[in-house]
Amino acid sequence: MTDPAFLTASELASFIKSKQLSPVELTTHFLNRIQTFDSDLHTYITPLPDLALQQAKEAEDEIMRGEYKGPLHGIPMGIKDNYDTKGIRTTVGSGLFAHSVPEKNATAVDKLLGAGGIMLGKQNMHELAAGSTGTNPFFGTTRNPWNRKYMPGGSSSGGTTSLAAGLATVATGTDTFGSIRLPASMCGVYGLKPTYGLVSTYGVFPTAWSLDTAGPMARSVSDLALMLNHMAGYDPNDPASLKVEIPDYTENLNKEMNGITIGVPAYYLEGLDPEVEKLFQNAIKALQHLGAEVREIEVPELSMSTFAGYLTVTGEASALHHEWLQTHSELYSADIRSFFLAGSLTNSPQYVKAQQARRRMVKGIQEAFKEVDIMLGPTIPIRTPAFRENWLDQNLHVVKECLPFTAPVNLTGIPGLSVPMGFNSRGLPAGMQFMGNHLSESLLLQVGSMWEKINPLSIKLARA
Amino acid sequence: MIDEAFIRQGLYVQGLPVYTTDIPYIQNLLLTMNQAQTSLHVFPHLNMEVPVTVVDKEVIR
Repeated sequence: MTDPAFLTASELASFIKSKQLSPVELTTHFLNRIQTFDSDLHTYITPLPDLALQQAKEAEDEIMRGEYKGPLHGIPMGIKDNYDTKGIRTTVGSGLFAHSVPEKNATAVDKLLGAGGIMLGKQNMHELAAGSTGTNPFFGTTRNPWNRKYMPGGSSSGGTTSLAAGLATVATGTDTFGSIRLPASMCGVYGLKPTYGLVSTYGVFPTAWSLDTAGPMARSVSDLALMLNHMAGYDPNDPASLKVEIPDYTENLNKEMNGITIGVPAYYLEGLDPEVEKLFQNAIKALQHLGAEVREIEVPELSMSTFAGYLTVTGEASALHHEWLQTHSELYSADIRSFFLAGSLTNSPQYVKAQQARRRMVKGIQEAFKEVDIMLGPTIPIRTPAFRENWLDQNLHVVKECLPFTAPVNLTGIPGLSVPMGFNSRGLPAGMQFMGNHLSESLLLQVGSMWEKINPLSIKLARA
Repeated sequence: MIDEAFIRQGLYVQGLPVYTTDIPYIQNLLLTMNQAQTSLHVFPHLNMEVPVTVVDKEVIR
């Protein structure tokens, strides 16, 4: 058997269900790996070895009694540290909340633990989920597992790095302007930003309410589907929660791509790093070989993404943090503080104008989805950068370069699936994102699973 | 470039901290937003759009 640390949940589930693999042994294996590798990678803020072993023991007892709950039963997972966990500190990656201990679990945490998941720990993230590099002056900067000199991306940096390094089987993330898809792209794993409101954000610390989305991250598309099966669903505690029927997201996995039309907005072909462009063009050819029709389309409204993205994120975040900034400004790092303070200097008409731009963007993409089934673009236009000495400046620079590619999905509320598309000349992964109409997660996962078949995840470096 | 005095005064009147080292970052961010606003000019009837807002279903119930 391959090292279980690098098997997918779907693969592990069959061993666990048939009692060939003990959840306690599996969890112990992950905890040992975390102890060995995490002092360097910084993927966990709060590892939870005792709790994880206790949960694993309970799972094992249940399975031995014949009470198998399903494919997440006994699966070790990482929980991003902006999801509330009862009695366990939830820092949001911030000095401001370094000692905050919630009284309740976030709804998504309850659902995953209810499915039998084993919580290995609370995972590192860019401070307050408001940055894209994974630097964290409070709890240690997460390193890219493919090369420690490079950034892992953020804000869900701990989750994606732990997946690539075999320190968790699946992980949770949040995505306000790319925080699931961007680090998934830089670490070479899969990340799904679901339709706004499909997964409850109750108990997830906000970054910008109207954009915040919780979602799964994994080493396979099928694992994303397994997680979404549990994470999705109506929650009366979340005012934005959608009351819709939840399908079985594994149902369409590995179905052929014949007849599927993929549109590449011209917007996503501008300003690409030459290596990203080459990988993306190769990916388009591969998708055509799989039977998809791929063509360039025009969605001019996407050009408003930078304005609407910045105004919405900084405006909402500055409102949320206004009093804390007045009283505890020293507990913010300068990049995040500047990001939020800039929002304080914008005005209400500008914010409302951004929301009008979002309405027009939604209309624009709805028109596009009359022509094509899904849209496709590189997840980010740049190669994964090495850490620079001036990380404050670098974070704001990376946000500026990447937000135009990631924010359209958040601004319009549609789902986006980031998948690995290859490696650049420095041996670092690059990703592309499939974007679908609202509630088209099944279609995205279908296309993603077919892509995964011809472009399976590489784990050679991460294992070393 | 956005005037430094505007930033200092804008923060001060809101009771927000003014760190001299933050000013260049804030200037840069505001410049990015102002430049990005020019993208709206291509859409002359944007002002007729109903803004996207957080819909609170508590209100609908």
